[in-house]
Amino acid sequence: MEKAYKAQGNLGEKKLPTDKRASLSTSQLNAKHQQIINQHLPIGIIETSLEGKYLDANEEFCLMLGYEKAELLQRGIQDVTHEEDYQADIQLHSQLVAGEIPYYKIEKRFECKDGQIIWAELTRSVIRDASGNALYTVGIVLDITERHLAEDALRESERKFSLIFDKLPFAATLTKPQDGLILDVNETFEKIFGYSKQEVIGKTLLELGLIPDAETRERILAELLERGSVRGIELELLTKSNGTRIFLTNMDLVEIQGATYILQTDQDITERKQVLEALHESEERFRAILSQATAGIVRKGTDGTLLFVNDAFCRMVGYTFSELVSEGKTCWDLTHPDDVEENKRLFDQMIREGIPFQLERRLIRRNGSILWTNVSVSPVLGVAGYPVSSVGVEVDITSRKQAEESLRQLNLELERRVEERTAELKAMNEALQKSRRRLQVLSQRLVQVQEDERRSLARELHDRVGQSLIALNLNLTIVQGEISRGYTEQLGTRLSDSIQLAREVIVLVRDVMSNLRPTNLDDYGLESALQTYVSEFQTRYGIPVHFEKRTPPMSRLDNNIEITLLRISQEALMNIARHAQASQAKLSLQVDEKQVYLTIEDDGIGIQGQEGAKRSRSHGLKIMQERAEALEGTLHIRSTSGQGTKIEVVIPLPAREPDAISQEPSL
Amino acid sequence: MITVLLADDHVMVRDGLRHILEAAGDIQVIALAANGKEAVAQALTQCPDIAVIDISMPVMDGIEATRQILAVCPHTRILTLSMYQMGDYVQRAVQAGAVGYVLKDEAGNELVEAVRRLHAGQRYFSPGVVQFGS
Repeated sequence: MEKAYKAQGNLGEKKLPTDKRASLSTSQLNAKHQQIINQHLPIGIIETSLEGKYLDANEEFCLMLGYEKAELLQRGIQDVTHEEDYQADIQLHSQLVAGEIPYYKIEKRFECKDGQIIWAELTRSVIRDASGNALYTVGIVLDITERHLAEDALRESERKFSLIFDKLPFAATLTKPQDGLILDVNETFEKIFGYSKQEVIGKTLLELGLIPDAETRERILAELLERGSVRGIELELLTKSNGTRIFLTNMDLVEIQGATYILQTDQDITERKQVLEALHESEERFRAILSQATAGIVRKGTDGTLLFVNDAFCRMVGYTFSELVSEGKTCWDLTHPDDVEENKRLFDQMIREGIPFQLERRLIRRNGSILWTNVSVSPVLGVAGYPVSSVGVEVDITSRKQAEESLRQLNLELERRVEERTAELKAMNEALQKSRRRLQVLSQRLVQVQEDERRSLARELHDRVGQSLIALNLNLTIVQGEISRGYTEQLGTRLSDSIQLAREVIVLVRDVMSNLRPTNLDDYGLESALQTYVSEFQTRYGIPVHFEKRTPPMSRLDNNIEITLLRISQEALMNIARHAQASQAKLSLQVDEKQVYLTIEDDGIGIQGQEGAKRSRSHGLKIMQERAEALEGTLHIRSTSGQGTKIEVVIPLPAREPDAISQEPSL
Repeated sequence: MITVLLADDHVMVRDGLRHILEAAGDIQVIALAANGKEAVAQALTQCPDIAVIDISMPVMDGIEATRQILAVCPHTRILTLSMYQMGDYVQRAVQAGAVGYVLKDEAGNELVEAVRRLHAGQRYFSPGVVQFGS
């Protein structure tokens, strides 16, 4: 094929020794040259020596590379060719020169003067002389840089598409809509379904089980054709390696190079589905637990609004679910007013800080009665990590609280009893103290009484016995003196005086002794002693006293009782003699199994009338009273002014011992 | 004659003492008293040389009587009669103005001598009587 021509004209002046173009006829060259120029094509034309040096170049070629023509003709193929393309070009060039090939055509890169690279399509042929010797080569250069860039972009785009297609995180298949033949699948597809690309290309989805059945395929296809895409179909598809799994499938109609294909993506949602089902089951189970639980379970909003309550809670408070939840009640509506503050404080703290809490507090039932519950409240955290609601578990502790209350009451009662008992003991102790102090007073009084008696005894001895003995002594002294002096006329009188004095002394001594301890009290008992004293009293003071001994005589009493009653009688009678101005007195003694009664009365002026003697009298009364009390007895004085005085003494008898009864007097 | 006022509440003692004093011959009992008050009254009218006063008497005792007799008859010398030999009694009598103290037990033997001593301007205290500061 003779496509290469030698350009003539402005190239003609070159007369280089190696220039073998001279062998062509000028007319031939001109004709070709003119033809090319006329076409105004952006085609570079270049003539090259057999060794690869540029011999001539047209203006277009110079413009392509940015060289002046003169500069260009200083250079050769190697100087302006991209180093990666040089070998290919120069090799073909050699083959061309050698006649091994008639021409060649390559795409190669040129380096422009400014360093820029341009892509060009170079077609080279060889010019020979008549005898067939190669003279030089002619190359036609087309600038294809733009085309090349477009092709690069396309290739890059295809590469990218392929990459994305392969690396999609879900299985992707490209099929033909008409017959369902698989054109391509991606890497994820291979991984998920266990088929290699080679295994599936050319097969249909249906025969691989990648569409459940033909009917389904038709249905989906119809929808796809109508809308251009199908979204979110759940399909159970058979994989080669992993059995049947659940996929979420999308389909799109895509156009590639003018043809329409189906791009199907399958996302394995088996696990997610299982999780969801497990969640669902768990929710169902939870719901069952909630409704069967005996504890009340309550979900509340952050403001305490009841969002859910279980059956047990409804039963506890006596409201229906809808009354509590649908009517928008809050837990504060149900809480006892006294417990709201504390409950709210803990609840708000939980909402703020996410801390669960537990509280014993009262709820109010629909019927107004009180229910004690132990509530444990935990926050329910939202995705953002802070509480969006709460769950409370309410346990009825009313009976425990009641038990605690009764225990508390019991404790209070016990404490009260202990206090009472303590008070009793205190009172007893005080009484004991009082009685001890009284005993002290009594014992002091006893000493005093004893001293009083001794004093009176001493006085009696001094005043009466002593004086009488002194008088006796004086008489005897006088008698002695008169006898010695021989005076005898008055001796008889002196001696009879002395005898009288001696008698008086005897009587006085007996009186004193009898006062000290009446001997007949020990020998014959109280009645006898009283009778003796009464008779002496009558003689001495001239006041008649009525006293009758009983027949048979009263049995002997306890020694202390007898002496006490005797002393009281003596004191009472002495008081009558000294202060009462009575004309007569009466003394009586009675005894039964438990007590002995002594009464002394007179018809005198009464105690109130005895102004002057009040002190000594009241002293005497006090001693009588104390004597009676010392034996746990009582002494009462009844006295009306001008109508006499009555003293009543009651002394309890000690429990009798069997053989301590009625002792005969031991003389 | 030594004039004497004799005061004792026991009638037989008083009588015995009067007899013993008068039997001495130089002593005349010019007044008798049964208690201190009577003794003071008698002294006021009789102004005896010596007043023999029992220390314990009803109505007014011998100590007070001694004081009052000396107030009305400063020249009368007081002889106290007593059952007690204890110093307290003696001291009280001396403080009241008595210049003699005779125990009743020994009166039969000592009384006359005591009256004479007092009349002679001396003092007399029965042996065994405890004396203070004299």
